[in-house]
Amino acid sequence: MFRAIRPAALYRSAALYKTAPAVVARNAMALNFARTYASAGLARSDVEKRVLDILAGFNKVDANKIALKANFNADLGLDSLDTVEVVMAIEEEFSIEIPDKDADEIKSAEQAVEYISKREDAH
Amino acid sequence: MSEAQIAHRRLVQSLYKRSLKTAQDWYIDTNLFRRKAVELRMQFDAKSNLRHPREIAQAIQEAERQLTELRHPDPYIAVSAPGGTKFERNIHPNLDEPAAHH
Repeated sequence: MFRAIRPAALYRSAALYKTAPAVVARNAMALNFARTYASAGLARSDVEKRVLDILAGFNKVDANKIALKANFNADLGLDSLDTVEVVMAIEEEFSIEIPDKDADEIKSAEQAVEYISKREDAH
Repeated sequence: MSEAQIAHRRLVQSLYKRSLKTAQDWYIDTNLFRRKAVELRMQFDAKSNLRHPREIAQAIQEAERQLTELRHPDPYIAVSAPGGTKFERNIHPNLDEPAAHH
């Protein structure tokens, strides 16, 4: 099987390597350097839908009252511990960790969406 | 709400969150975790009618003690959080302000 490769073929491939100009190699390096990592962040509409879906999953929340601007406490009737559960569900959904300081500022779906769109590591 | 009330709310919220996280570390199965979460919620609700400052302080101290005791040796950490598997991976170089020695 290995004998099938004739010496001439080997030389030919070696010649191919030789003729490759150095410029190509340099360009390849430039390409490597300018590599991209992943697609752009989440679309806002997707984030909104996912956050609203999380709220819809809570049995304490009235499905008719769910809206982006609805305040967790005043409009949806969630108490402080329920809010913690919502924030934890959001953390799980977007695989991020929300520090208590930021979690305290999230009082409506809109604020949650705003916060997630600022976090570049949200998935 | 007064400042002290807000501070207390934040403290209890943090306690509740840490309790849920600890429960999540120990109970991989969602059904088991949900049961535990409901239990925890009942425990917290049971303490919500405490009014005397000393009783409240004792309850919080007891909860903190239990949390420390039940701490998981290998807790789940979100991938991009400090200690997570993707924490500070592939940081984009700052091309606008290169380091001084370059």
